[in-house]
Amino acid sequence: MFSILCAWLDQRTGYKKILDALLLEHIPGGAKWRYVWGSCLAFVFMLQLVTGLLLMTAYSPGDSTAWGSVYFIQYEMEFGWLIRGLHHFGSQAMVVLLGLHMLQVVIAGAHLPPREINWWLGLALMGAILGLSLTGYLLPWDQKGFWATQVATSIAGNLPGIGSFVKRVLVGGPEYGNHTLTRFYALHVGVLPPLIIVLLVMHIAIFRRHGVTAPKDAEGEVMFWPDQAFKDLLACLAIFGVLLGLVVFGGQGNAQEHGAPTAESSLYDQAAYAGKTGCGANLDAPADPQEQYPARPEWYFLFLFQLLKYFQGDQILIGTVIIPNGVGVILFLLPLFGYGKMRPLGHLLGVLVVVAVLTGAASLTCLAIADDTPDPLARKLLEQLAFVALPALAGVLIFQLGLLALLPRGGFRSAVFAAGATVLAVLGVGIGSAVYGAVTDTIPEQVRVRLAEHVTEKKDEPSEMTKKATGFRKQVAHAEENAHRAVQIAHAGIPEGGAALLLRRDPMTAGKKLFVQHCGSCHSYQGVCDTEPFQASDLTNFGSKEWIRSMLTNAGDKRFFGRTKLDGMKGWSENYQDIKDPAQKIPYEAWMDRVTDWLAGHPTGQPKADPKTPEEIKFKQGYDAFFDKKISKGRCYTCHTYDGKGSDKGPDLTGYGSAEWLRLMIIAPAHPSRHGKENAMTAFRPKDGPGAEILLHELAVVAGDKYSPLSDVDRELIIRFMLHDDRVVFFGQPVSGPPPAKKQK
Amino acid sequence: MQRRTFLEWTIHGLGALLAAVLGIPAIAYLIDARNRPSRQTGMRTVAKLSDLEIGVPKEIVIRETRQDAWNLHPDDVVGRVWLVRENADTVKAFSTTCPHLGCSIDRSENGFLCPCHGGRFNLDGKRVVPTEGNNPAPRSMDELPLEKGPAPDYEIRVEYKRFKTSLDQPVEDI
Repeated sequence: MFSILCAWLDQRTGYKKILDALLLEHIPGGAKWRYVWGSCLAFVFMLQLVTGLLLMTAYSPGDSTAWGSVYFIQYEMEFGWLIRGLHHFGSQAMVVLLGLHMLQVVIAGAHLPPREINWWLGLALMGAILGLSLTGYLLPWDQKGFWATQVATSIAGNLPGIGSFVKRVLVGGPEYGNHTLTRFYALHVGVLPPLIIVLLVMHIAIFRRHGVTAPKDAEGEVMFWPDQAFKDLLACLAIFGVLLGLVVFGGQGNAQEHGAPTAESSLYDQAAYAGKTGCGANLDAPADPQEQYPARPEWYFLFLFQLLKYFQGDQILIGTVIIPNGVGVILFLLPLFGYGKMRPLGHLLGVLVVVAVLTGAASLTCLAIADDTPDPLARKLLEQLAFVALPALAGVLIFQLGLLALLPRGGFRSAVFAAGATVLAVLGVGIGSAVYGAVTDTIPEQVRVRLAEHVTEKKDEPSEMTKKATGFRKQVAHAEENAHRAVQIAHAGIPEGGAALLLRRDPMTAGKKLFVQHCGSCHSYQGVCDTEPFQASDLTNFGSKEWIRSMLTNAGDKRFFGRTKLDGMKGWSENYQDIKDPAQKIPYEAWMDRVTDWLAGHPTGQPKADPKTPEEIKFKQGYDAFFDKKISKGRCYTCHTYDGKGSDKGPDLTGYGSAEWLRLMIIAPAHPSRHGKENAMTAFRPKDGPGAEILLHELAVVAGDKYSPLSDVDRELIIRFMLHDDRVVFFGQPVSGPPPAKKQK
Repeated sequence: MQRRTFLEWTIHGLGALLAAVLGIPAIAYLIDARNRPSRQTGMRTVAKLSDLEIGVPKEIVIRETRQDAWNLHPDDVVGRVWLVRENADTVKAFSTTCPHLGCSIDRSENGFLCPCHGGRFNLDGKRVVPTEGNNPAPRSMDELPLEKGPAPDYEIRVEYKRFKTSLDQPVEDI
């Protein structure tokens, strides 16, 4: 049945002929593993196209939408983490494979005539692929991509003469913004991929014209299908497996504390939402120019980053333009050394140049990592890798290649090949694990002892390098904290103003900072502001049961009113402290507990006449205790008001400790229903915005000119921070002014 | 089995495996919209009885919290309703969405008129039975659930809903 259908289709389209033309390629010398790299690159590129297209269905390029959409892909959409993870690691795989493919090409001498044009196409492809990496890095609009890409566009901006113009066109304006994203997005999805497809078709067509570059003495011949195709497919599958492994076990994401699938979730949910448990690519905190960030490029651009450090001031162009482009020109010229009798020289030169470039890049990468490593031993190790191990690896490779070129086919040559390959593998694995050890602080003890001999730096006298790297690590830790936090709060929804508002309006991030800035010079708060002297109460857990209960028994303590002129509660507490008879104390304390429980619930309104539920009963007990006339040593209501009843000598306790209560306390501390004119606290009010002028005038009449500017949003952030309410402040209805002061009876 | 056949079948098999590992998650990802929660509806206070004049329809905007993929809009417009106070006590609420093809229904001299294809309705929302020409509206305007609060404010509360268009009977569109 199937064959009939195929025949029907073939008769009408002739597809078999096309397939044959594609698949029946002669491979002299037989299928070989070393021919797989090109196919692997093409495969990963296809993978990038598929995953990229899928990402396009959910990505939104825009200053206020990009981060949110990537967050949504990564954390909320089924298998979004997998698609994005494959795309992320796939891009890195392409860079690695590019290096390997290029190395294989020069070793085979496939850059030499008549294949020059294909070498040049390959270089163009490499440029386009690096362009994809650069543009793609910015698209999530997270801190990492935002700051790293700034470096790249600054380099463009430093070009002599045309720099400012080029930068402005690239960035789409004077600053990073909506048009930076739309432009980078257009380059990333609309310009570079089609360009690569065209170049790739030409690259493959020309490759087919000349065939694989088999050794001269190759014997026999097979067809691409199925022998080489099988090897190619296995290699592609292996790469796919590695990518999948990195996505699943690479652990670059931030796990969400709430909503992540657990062991009880269905297997499907565990897989579909694994992004919530930290699988997949990293998403840093939303881009925010007001936040510090330790900018570093993606690892495969670190060598360029390192190169910049050696050229400063006027010489910067040497590092940014001259050397990278010079290397490009040398690579471009390589095939020209292969004409006529120069061919062996051209072959040798190709290998030497490419090996030197790759080794140089690898060494610079190691040095770049070393500069960011605070541990002097690890730094030494990385420097040794850069200056000794990597050049040694390159030397062994060149030596082995030379030996293999000179030796005739036979047992001895095979033995040299095997021995050389083993040495290279051991060296490669060694260098890889050394880098891993240095980066993750897991260098084995024996190695540490050996390294210590070469390091003169003492632990208590850190060098400039160590201090700098320690500072860098600290900044990274802070950035990671922000990234973690952003991912936690984004689940509840992102303000339409953009994801940068998430942290700017997070009570636990921004609220904490604002508390220190506005409240911290008078009020203390455990672990946030601890440095004496203070002039007012400690606000750690203000309004909680513990806070109220301790305050009642010891209001004169410096934790409460001890540092202030407010002495109403001090006398009250002293009355309690004066009771010596424990028999009297017990009922008194039971009464205090009832009032405390009630107040800590920020009570508002009247109790029910016939309370039924335990909550209703407790509320009634607390209310009755507040208005209890039998308490001889200080009834509450003789100083405080509740729900309009009582005296306004002390603060009104309706909703005590709630957001509402704090709001009035902050905007009008001298209000009769707060601490009155006795209070030393200044009023915190918006200085501008609708109605601010009138409110400030009204305040001046009531309390003189004592006020500090504080915007509505900032105030709400401080209030939520104090109440441990970690919801992002979205701000719908502004609350700017206090209620009119009613004369209370 | 011949070596060649074996290789071919293995290539096809492994290729299919690869396609499945990538394809199944890709499909799940593409149809992920099925997991987005439907609009949360409930009774919302939209006006007071005293705001409404007898026999004069009033257009009211309905605001609700709206979750749009990653964005949360705490106070967003989700739709509009026509409130018609028929007499001292009764008020009716109609969706402004035309039951014909979803345009927005406007006032007319003595009732409602949809500006797109000319659907006509009486002041009580009933489809006008045409005496001449035709009326493309397949049914009367969609009435929304409405509650009237207690004295003295008599707050009018409405639950906003969407209905499928072009059907003879209203069917809620979830």
